[in-house]
Amino acid sequence: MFRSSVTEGFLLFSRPFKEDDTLCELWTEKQGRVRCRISGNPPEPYRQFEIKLSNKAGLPAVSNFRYTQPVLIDSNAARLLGFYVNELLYRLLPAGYGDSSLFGRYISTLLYLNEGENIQPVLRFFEQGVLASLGMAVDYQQDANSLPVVAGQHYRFETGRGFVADAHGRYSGERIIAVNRQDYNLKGALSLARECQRRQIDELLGGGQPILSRQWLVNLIQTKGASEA
Amino acid sequence: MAYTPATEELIRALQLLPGIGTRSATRMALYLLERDTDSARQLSHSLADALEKVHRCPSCRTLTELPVCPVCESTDRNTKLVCVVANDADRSAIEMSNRFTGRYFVLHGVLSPMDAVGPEQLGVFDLVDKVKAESIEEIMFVLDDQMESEATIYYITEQLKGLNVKCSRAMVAHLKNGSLDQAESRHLVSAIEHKREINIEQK
Ligand SMILES: [Zn+2]
Repeated sequence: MFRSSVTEGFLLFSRPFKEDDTLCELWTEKQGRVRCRISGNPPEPYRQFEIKLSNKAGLPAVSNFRYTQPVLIDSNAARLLGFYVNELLYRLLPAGYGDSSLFGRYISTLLYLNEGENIQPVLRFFEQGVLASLGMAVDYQQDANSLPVVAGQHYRFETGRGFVADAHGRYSGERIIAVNRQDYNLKGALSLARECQRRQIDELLGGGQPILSRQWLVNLIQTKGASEA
Repeated sequence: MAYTPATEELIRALQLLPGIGTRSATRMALYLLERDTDSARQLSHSLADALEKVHRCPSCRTLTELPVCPVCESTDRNTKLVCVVANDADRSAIEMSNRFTGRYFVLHGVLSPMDAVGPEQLGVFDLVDKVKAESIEEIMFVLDDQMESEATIYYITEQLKGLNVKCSRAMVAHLKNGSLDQAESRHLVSAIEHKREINIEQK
């Protein structure tokens, strides 16, 4: 456990606490997910800040709060998509586990989401980052037996293991290779990444409640008439 | 186990309340059981009574003790205009301003996946059905400007696309903690009078 440190962070979510305080779940670069109590209003969501966290019994004490960047998301659609990104961090990552590479990926994901282009590949990119941080990234390069994925071959996907060569498997080697190159122009590549990463995420949730915001986003994307969710 | 099983159960139950941790729950439970059993009985009775009588109005989700709430029952209200609020306290604040003549729809929260609150819990699809069934012409949102509220409004207006309903928003100035029940009525009246139409990008 940390003693006291200054770290960059974002707000994941907050709820009122007692009369005037806020219980905040932060996503920080050095300490990962941290729950703390902030007096007054919570930090603005999707905006990077610097904060000093000091360890004490119960919740860490918070001081020296200041914003260090402008808000990264200002579009309504991106705000909703950001819920999904935040929920992944909240549900999957253990508290107190910092990962600065995932922290960087979080920032670039929010920036991409705000642009509103290629939303699906961006979400897959972030999911894979979270999975990698937990040692559960889907390996699109090698199969479960550490052999390179072959274009002419078919595969099935087993959670926790990876792709297994199988003549009746649902996924073609071409598509797996395309996902590995992040080339989503090949038809079916995006849905392959979505399905496999989703199964991997569900495995990590261990039969618990699924990621709630995923379902709303499917609805949203359907009403917008956009491409597959 | 430090306390009797029933005491432990009470402590656990009190922790279900927002903002109540183990220590506060233990303090409350012991206070009720050791020091003030009359109040404890009163609390238990009021809670059971309220649970028995109070339910959500089937039309607008306001908490009521009647089969349908008085506002939905009234024939003097503008049935084509619906005000969407986050909770009953906000609804009653607007009602007390005496300025709003339409009906209400109470979400009982805003979108918050980490609290397991999604569109279904907020009744969003019931609202969409209501707009269709009752040919509602305008939905006026009176929610604060927190990110979750903004996202909720966006989500609902997306669901209302193509239904030929106007969406507008009233922003209340000078809010303490975002709660309308502490707002002065002149600010509420001004917000309703100066509501702004939300442009839904039609696709
Ligand atoms: Zn009603």
